[in-house]
Amino acid sequence: MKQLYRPEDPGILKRKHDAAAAAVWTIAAGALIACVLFCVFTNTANAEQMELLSVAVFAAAGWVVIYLSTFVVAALRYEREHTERMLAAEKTSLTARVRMEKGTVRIHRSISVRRLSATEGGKTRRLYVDERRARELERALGGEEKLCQLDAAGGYVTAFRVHDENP
Amino acid sequence: MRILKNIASQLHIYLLWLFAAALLWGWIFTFVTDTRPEKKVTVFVEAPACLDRELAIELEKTMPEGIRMIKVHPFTYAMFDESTLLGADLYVIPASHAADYRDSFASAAGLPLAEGRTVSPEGGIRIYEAAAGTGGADGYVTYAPPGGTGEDYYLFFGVKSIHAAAVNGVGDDAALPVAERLLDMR
Repeated sequence: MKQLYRPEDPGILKRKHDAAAAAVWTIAAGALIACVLFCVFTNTANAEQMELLSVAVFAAAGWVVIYLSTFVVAALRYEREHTERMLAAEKTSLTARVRMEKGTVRIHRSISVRRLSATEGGKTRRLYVDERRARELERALGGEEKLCQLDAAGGYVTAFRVHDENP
Repeated sequence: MRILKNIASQLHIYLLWLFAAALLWGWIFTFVTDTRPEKKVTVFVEAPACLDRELAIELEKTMPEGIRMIKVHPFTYAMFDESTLLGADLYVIPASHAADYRDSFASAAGLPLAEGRTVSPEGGIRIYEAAAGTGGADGYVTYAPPGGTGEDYYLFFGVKSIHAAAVNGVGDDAALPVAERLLDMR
């Protein structure tokens, strides 16, 4: 079985989160210092250019901070929280024919996921796999529906093994 | 591609931030880079056109003692806030409007600066003579409308100025050398 969640993952994700948060603070502080310097070096002759420059730096730094906060820092936090939940959760096993659906779904205030349809005994279940961990499963399925053994917790796939149907 | 998709999903936030940054930082910048009235001489010009920034730069070349900044504004600057206009140190006003603002002026009659110059009934010193077509700082201020001769313009001291002690008895006289430069600038 290929395990998608490793016990050391939360620690790694925390370190990445802290580094990204530090980068965001550095960018914000750097932009603020730059804007203060623009003010300090302003005189009547260059006031218009300095104002334009400081507004441009303030706006651009804000955009970068908004982007990183939303799509990097927050995403890493959600990823760590999700990983911790998955590692602590009780898993159920199933063997089903699995097909990965196209496209990504971003869950509000949580991770982005890929959807799977798992057909077992004529019944189809909807399962999810963390988008960041979906690549291996996608590669193993090769865009086809294949028989797989899955471990799942709360609707999320935590481990998989693709059965070789043509031995 | 993924970055663009992420940005597109929050485009409204980025646009809102741009708007807020321009307004907020524009205001902060103006507030921070401005200086206290005691360190600043403010000139308001009511004329068809005025190169306010260039005129301020020229006037700042010989800054009066204790002054860090000379501000030149067209009258439209006071469109939303009259306090700056009413507290200004110097005004350049056409003769036909002088009576409208009479209460805002301190008379310059009797000042050594006014000697040998034409003084209006409101106490302003003539800065532009329409008949001659020349005047002080006429390289920066367009006194006459295009194709016309316009009218005479007068330089007034503000009654609330803290830099015209010689005419209203308050503060220092830093506005006087600025007024003299305006009158004599060619």
